[in-house]
Amino acid sequence: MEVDKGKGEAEETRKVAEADRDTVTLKSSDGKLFEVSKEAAARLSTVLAGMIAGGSIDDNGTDLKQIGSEALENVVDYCNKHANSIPSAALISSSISFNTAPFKEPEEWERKFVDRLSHDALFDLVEAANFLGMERLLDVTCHKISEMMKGKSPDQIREVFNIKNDYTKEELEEIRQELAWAFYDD
Amino acid sequence: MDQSISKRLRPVAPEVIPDEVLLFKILVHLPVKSLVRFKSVCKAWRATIASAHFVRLHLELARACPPSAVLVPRKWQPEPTKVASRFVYIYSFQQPPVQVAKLIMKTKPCPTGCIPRFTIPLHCDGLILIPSVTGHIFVCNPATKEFVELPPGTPNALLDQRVAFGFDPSSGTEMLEWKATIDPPYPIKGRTPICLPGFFYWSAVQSVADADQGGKLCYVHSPSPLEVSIWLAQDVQNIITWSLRCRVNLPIPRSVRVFACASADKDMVFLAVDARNLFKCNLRDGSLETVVDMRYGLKYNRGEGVNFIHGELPFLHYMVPYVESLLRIGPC
Repeated sequence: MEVDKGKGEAEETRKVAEADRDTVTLKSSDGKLFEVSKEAAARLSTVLAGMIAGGSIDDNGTDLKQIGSEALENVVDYCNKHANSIPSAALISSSISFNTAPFKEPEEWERKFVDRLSHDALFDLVEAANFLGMERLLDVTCHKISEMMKGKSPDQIREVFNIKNDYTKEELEEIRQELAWAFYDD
Repeated sequence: MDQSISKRLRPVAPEVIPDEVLLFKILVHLPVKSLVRFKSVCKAWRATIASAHFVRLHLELARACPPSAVLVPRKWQPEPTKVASRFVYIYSFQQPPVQVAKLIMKTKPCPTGCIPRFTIPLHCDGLILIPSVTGHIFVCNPATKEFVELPPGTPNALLDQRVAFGFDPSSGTEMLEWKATIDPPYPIKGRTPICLPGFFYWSAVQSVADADQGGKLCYVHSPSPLEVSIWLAQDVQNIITWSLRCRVNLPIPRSVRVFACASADKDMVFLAVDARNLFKCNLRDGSLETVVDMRYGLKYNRGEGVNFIHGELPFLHYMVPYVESLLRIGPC
């Protein structure tokens, strides 16, 4: 999806928003504005819910300096798609708090939503979902990343996540020998 | 998104995905084999993957998924104390049309050199307990390849031993420990009890609770060689009520026993007639579907490039529900 198109749509919906204020305006780190339904934002993001309840929403665009326009567009897109799908009661109640809600497998539309993202977009969206306290979006994006990690070698994993190998050569060899079976492909 | 994730154009800054998210939201979804491999990524990952907190989160996710099943074939022999095998082989059972059972684990030779005749294995949270008629008890985790023989317990009046195996939610730990329970009111004979969180269900004489089906006890009663009735128990505040779920006419007569095993579909249960002929029973209407004759129709693959069938060999094909876990068996 083009960012410009998203912006155009956003501005169009903003005019409506000014009349009834059913939406909130979010501003990305690079200054682009996005509209999202107030109800969806409050339901899906604990951070936005807190800001709406606390009255710290800026009608001219609430600054989200940590989130780039591409990631924010995906966040808004997710909120809209979520509002259009029929969310089960279990899903709504699962977005309570970190690490305590039971994980539910991604639904078909959620799979499609993350499958079309590039790697960078996916990683940025994890960061945005985490920042905004969007438990469900975080679950769905993290699940996608874990699926991509299956079958990868430790070297590939270190490269992707920029992790330093702090084992000595001898230690690594010892682990490899002890757990050799885990290094063979099925 | 098929391209390899290592082909990302720019490296990810370490602060992009916080450790807490990376470890407890992403890694925790991985299968055990990947996690064992990723212990070699760095020391912090190794420590996290081995931590009790991570193991429990991983298990909670596994428990929420439909169970799979493993097959543990055992040579049949009339002499109980005779050596059955030097090894136990554990295979993954795959739903039809796949008729190949793949080896997950071949146990190490046990310290005494052999595995005595064993009865149907039990499963709890990724650990498989193999009770033998000589009282030797083995526990293994097929996902991590751990295999140990438990220290001996206390024999019953017949100098026989029966063991129950389960998760104790009151302790909240995943430690495996011997714990004295109250003596059952009736002599326990020839059967291993079923365990659901916090409870052991012992069966006296012939009545047997066979499988836990979606957390419910399932009892398969076979009054005559061609008849089977399936009972499910409802446990409401520790009061157990049994209700007859369906009656089934077997297409082939059982000679000894019909075993039940939970399936991924909560309305279906596997029935293994004499641990050889596998059927799938629809609990809603009692209809029966032939899955496979495990002697002739099921190919066992030991990963040596050869699939073999047991055929006329005197084997029992025990089927046990299973979820993968990282639980360790080692002493605490």
